[in-house]
Amino acid sequence: MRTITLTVNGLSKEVSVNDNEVLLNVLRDKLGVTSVKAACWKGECGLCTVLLNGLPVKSCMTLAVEADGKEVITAEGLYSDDRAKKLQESFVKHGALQCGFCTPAFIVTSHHVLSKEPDIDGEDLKKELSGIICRCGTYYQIYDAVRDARKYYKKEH
Amino acid sequence: MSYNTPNITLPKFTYYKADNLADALSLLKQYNGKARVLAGGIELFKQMRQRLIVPEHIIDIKGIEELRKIDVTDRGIEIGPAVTAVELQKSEIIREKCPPLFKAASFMGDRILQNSVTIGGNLTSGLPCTEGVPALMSMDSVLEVRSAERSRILPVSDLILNIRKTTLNSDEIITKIIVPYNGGLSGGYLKLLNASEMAVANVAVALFSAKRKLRLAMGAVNVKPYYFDESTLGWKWNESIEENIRLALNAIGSTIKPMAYNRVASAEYRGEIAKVLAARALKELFRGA
Amino acid sequence: MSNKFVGKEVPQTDSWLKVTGTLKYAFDINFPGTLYAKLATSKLPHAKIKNIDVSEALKVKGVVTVVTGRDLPYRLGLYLSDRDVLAVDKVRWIGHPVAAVVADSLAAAEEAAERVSIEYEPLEPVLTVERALEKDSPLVHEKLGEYRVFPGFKPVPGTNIANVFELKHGEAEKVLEEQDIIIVEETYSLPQISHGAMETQNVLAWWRFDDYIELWTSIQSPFATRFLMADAMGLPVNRVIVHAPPSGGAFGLKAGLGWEPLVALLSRKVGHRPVKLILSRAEQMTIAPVRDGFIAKVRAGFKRDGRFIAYQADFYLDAGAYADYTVNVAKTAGYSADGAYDIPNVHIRSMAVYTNKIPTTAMRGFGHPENHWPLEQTIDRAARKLGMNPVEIRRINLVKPGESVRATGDRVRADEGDPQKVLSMLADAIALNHVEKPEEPWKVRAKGISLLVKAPSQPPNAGASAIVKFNEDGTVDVLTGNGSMGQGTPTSLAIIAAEEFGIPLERVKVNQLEMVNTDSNPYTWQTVGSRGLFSDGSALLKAIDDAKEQIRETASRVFKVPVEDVEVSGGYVSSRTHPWIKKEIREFAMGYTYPDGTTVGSAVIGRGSYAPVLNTFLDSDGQGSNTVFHTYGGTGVELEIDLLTGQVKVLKAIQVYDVGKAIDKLLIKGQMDGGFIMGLGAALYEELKFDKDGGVVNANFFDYYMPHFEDMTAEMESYTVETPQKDGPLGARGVGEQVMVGVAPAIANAIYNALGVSINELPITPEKLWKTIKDQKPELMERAAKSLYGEKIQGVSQI
Repeated sequence: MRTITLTVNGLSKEVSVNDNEVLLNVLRDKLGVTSVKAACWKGECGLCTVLLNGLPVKSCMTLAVEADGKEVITAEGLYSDDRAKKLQESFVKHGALQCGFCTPAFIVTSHHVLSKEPDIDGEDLKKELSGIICRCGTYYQIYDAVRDARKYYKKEH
Repeated sequence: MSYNTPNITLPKFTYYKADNLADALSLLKQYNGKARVLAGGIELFKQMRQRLIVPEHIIDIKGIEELRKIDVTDRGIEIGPAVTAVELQKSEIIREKCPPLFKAASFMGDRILQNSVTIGGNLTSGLPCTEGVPALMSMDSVLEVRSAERSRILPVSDLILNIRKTTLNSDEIITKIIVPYNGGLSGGYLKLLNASEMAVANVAVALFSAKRKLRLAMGAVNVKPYYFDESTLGWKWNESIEENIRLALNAIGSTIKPMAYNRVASAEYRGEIAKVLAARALKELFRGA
Repeated sequence: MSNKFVGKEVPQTDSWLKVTGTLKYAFDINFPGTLYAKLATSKLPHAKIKNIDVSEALKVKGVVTVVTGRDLPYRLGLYLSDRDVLAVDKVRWIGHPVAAVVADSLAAAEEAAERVSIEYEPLEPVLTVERALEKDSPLVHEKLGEYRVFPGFKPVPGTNIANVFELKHGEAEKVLEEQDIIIVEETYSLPQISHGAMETQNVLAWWRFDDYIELWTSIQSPFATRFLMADAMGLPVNRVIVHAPPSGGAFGLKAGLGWEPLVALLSRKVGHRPVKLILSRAEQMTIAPVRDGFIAKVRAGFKRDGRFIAYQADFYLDAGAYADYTVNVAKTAGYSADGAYDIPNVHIRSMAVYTNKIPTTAMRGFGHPENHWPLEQTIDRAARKLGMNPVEIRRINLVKPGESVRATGDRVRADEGDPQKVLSMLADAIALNHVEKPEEPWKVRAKGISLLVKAPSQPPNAGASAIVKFNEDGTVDVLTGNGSMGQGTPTSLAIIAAEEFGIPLERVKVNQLEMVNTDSNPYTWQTVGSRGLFSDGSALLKAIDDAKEQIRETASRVFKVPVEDVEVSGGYVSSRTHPWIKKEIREFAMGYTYPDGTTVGSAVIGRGSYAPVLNTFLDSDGQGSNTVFHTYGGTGVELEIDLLTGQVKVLKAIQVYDVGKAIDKLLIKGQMDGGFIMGLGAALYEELKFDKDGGVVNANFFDYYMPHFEDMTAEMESYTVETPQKDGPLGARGVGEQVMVGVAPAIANAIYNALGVSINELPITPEKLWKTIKDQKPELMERAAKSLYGEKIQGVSQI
């Protein structure tokens, strides 16, 4: 066991972890961040995606010790970001969710994409969101929701 | 090979974060045979969850600055093994000077994984469908490989030994990927999937027009990649592209021995797709040239 | 009545919890001190268990206990009690759970499970339906005759037949021998596929010290789970308390009974401590049930004028090692095999057959993806033989509501939908006769359609109930037993309640804590078969009427008018004859209180229940009335086919469904678009692959490819038709399952129409289509190859 420090949604947390624990389990089981889901535990479904120092990573494929000293942002945390909240609202409005199990991963990933590239569209946008599986098949609605939220990420806004 | 594993947890190991190359190499020497290098970790963690490998020590090289750089040197383009797929795609140097690798990088896992996937991890996964191997082979790339004691140069074409097996020794790390051309080449990369994320075939092509050099490398068709140059392709510079593609496909067809592998595709289909991709890649290459 | 909410686009009521990730699924629920379970599974497809050595497993630090099948002598099942809790005496498939480890951490449980050592005596495995049906085949279930069987199912003891169903209507065989009949005869098949629900099955069980059992579990049918568990274990039903949070996808996987008995028994075994079992993805796809594999041998006869005159088919469902639910899939595929068509002579035999492979269960569509795959292709192949258009041949054969009789002998209700209108809208939107040429000469464009109809498959007494509670401020709480797995039915029920009382939607809440709890929510049979809105909605309307009646009685005393004169609507209670006598509903919520404190009436709580009317089991010829509503629909696609690689890209997709009454258009569109995506996966990619011993080899999302964002290539058009169902809630029918049924046949029909090649097996992977073209139309491939390689580009000598 060793103690690592994570900043999770703005709050600094110290937590004891085993070297073989992945970030996913530490967030869910030790820090109670249950917006981070899992469905494959091997990097294939994308449901455990979090922003680690601003970049989307799959937390089942990231050791907790690798994240020591870094900043983690999840869907709960994005509610306090004005633009991300609008993005969440756009998901709600467009019905861009059914069972909702993959939704937090799509929220953090599309927030990252729009922050980086607010004009993104078409095939580029689809490609950016290709790392997460939605079995309910809400891709059409997510696509519309993210496109619609682009305006909040543009500079003038 | 199958990725089925009932396990959610990773087996026990001790984690080391190496700050510099010397530390990493000495740890690797100290725990020789019982340690694994963590670059991207995707394939490593998959295999560990499956208990295919159970290393006692994990040495994380992602924090080593010199392994994370892309430089232009007198040797050509030097790429650190810990450079991620996203960084490859963001790099002006890679985009301008290593087009096959630039294109291949966008296929190295999905967009999220590409923040974690490293070129070194992609190469050393030893999977037949790896994107990096044919892309780098098409540019005659070599690897600088080091252990605590020595350093050697290994052509990328000699890296893959068998499925999930490379010719690296257990105490060695790829420290540089060297593309021996500083620009002047055009190239492409194509890949085809068949109801699986495992490629049926992938093809990289590169053309050094000034020197009239043409390269074509092909992965996933068999365990080891295939490499062709203008002479093994039977290329005739004074002939039309259609005639050349015909010659090239004949050469490819009589060289490759496609495998039926992992239920992704039959040997027959693999062989045909390899040729179709080769034809398309060549056609696109010369249309763009 | 003007609709304020009905027919609008209303997001799911729990949307904000979903977008912030704060909705709690069973996966997220844990108590301090929870122990973790892990299963040790069989490595052989069929073998006697000679010995199980758990000593090494018990040595792992943190392990509390290891349990084996003999410790758990219960038989489980919905329609047929063919399941054991853990393997007893023999294993029946690669993945059959043999022992369960309980430990204080998942890591310890996983380590220990690997150390359980099982000694086998191998038996000959039965790996195909063909082998299973041979006289000398080994038996998967020797004691089939001793299992409990639900009425209407016919297992054949001494064979591997878990159920055989027969439907006889007219004289199909005789007609098929007649002169001047065009015969279309083919064999079709579908592979086993995974539900792919993102939240894997997981159960947290606590067998309390007072012998009540609490379960927090990822399921879709809380009451069925409760009943089946209590029934199997000989417990009073209310000893089992099921907490069913919303499910992260279900698709039939989570209907019936899952791992609950096992985990509850483990909890008792470890001293009444809570135990949690979470399946990994590989476990979900090797040890838990999947959708059946299916083979159909069909013979269809058409008159020269296109009339579909006779249909004879044998269906074989590869049920795997357990068929407790699949027996009903076999029956359903059988009795609904005539689809949306009026076929005077039908003879179907449909059987569920045991094999030593992964067990199977219900999946979205429930027998209809199976039986529409042959039926809808048969129609297109007949059309080609007859020189007819796929639209026209369907037009003349569709059932006529109010006139036709189904093959079950059941009359097609006049109000059950407008199949002709569905077909017309589909035909107009897809325009089959206008197919464009793609840019690349090695590609071909293609268009195809498919129709479908589906009713819920349920027992004749599959009821539902609802409670409507008023709170002090006039807000309304609705309680139902409807499970929530993304389909959004609780939102539709909230809309109905808001509309009926005329109060704002925000003032209605359905199912507290977004959860169903069998102790406090009223009964519904299951949340399956697209029955939720129809059944629970019907019960809710009765509960609303009951609540209104209570309000009217109170109001009649307050207003001093007869009860019949009181009207409750639009948020108000008023007198019909004296409309100026009017008060807000909220004033009656807890009874009406005068300024001096005198109170008339009391708290309003409405109750309502619903059961199907005059449904019966089907008789031995498959005759009877066993359905409550039918939803008609159609799918159209435009594809681009790469002749050299076999890749299919969908350019355009049309979905049309007669939903009766659209309660929530946002949710319906979500179902239509999402169902298309799921159907696309089944059509093009999805297939569980088996090794030579029958073990699943691609139990992960890398090798088992489900649609990703890039597969959203089609421009999507979704339409609804609204032909009200008289007994449906506000006229509505269900649509959640129907939406994926037509995708595969529409794609296959498009390929057939464009290339003239037949693909009878799913999925249509690039390689399969490539091979099909190569075998059936090699000239197409040769021409395409020429076009790729033959194009002139300037001589390379110039560079």
